[in-house]
Amino acid sequence: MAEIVERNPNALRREGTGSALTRTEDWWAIWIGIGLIVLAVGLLAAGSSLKWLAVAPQKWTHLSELAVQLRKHATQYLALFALWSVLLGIGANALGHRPARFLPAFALLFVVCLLLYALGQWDQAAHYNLEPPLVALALGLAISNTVGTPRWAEPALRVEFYVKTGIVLLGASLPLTLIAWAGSVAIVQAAIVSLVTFGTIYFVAVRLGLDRRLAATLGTGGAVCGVSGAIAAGGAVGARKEQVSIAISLVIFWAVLTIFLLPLAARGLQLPTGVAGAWIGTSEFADAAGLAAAQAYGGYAGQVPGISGTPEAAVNAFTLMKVIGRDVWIGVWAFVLSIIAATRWEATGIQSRSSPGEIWRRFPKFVLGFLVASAIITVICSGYTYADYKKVLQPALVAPLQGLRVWAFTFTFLSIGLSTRFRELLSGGPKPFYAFAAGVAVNIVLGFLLSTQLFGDFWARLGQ
Amino acid sequence: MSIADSCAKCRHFRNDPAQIEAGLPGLRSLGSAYGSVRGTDGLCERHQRYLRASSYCPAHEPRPAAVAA
Repeated sequence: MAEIVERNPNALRREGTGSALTRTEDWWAIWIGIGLIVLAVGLLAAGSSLKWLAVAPQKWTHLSELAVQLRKHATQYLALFALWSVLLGIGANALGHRPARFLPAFALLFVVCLLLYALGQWDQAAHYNLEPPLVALALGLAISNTVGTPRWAEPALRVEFYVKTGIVLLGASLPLTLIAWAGSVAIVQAAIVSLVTFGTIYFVAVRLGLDRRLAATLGTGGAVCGVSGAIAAGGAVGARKEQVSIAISLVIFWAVLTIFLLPLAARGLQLPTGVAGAWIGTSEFADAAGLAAAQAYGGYAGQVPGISGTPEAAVNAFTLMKVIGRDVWIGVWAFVLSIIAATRWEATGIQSRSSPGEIWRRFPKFVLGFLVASAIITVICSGYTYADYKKVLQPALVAPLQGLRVWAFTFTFLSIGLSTRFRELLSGGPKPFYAFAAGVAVNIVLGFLLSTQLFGDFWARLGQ
Repeated sequence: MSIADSCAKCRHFRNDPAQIEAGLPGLRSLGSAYGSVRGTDGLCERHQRYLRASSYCPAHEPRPAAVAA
């Protein structure tokens, strides 16, 4: 049944029309990610490959070399832009963003991402700490918080849409057996940290005299999945609007800070990439923010003396920890909190119905795409020897999909910066800050101990 | 209370993703109102709360049919 809402000329025409499979970014991330994987498999079966389309800047020393590269591959970059424009444009249109507003904005985003990607390929980039995720984020933050992001560019700043699409594509480079093997450890580690972090924030907040609904919203934002956790918990407990805004603001503040701090600390400690990825996955507050930190740290592998492991290991460990260990449980948290709020806390005059169906409704569906992508590649790879995999499948199938994933994540990182305006964030005063900061401190220390001590060998092996 | 009296059908309730993102500054920089996690939650302009669409209260007022598509 169509659920009617007021018309909004800037965004959605109406909500609820069409299938549930076309109404959220999660499902569109699945269609786009799996569609690209099917396309890549189809091309491989036809004796071709997606790698022509999955073009990316290569290492360069002088600007003249980069210019030659870009000119030589200009047609491929145009084709890649067209591919992303069509796929993301269709999804954005279905979600209610007008193509006429989305596409020009996306063109700008793509061009800037290309330049950032190219900067990361400069042979001195590591020497000057110019990791593309961090540069994209810093540049975006600088623009957004000084001259301001142009309003016409805003329709393309869809952080979650891009990061979910990238995570689905990431599934294509993770065997299902690895997910099953490492997933259980990720779930145990994440469960310990999530429960302790939530308990810390909630306990401190209540002790400081804050409303329990704010305490729960802050706790879920800090312990489970950041902004998504905050809005899921806020809705489940019926939090006041400003309470949700306070939680969102604190998540953003700490998430952006830890994007820079965690890789810096891990680099100082010379953690292997897999271990650092697990730590970031345990202690970062949002998928997009954590991926920026993990990808930046992965870039140190082979570039910074003392850091072992592969670049992929940081992102893989992060994803296992954050997505499989933490994100998938948000529906359970929301369901449990809704029951506690309705039965144990002070009444608000608003009644609410709780149902276990909420667990599925709030389930981050893009995780299904991540698993399906992994299953597809695992089945295909099972018919090849390891030597053939390295010789045929890796360059013709997996590498192009990894390349497209890096593009999706680059869109994400720049979008975070360009859409984060610190002056818009709502300050709730010192008490929520103290409560959340207590959780951050516990989370980071506990995450570090579990990632480096209790499960350190496990995560280090992931990068070998 | 029946489903017809729930927030989903109330004129004070806004669960258009664009309106939610406008009403909760910062939401879209590391999150989204267009994701599965939000479910059908929305903002109640009368109570200034963020609620599930299945919630209900005595102040319920049916949404005018004029905006139906």
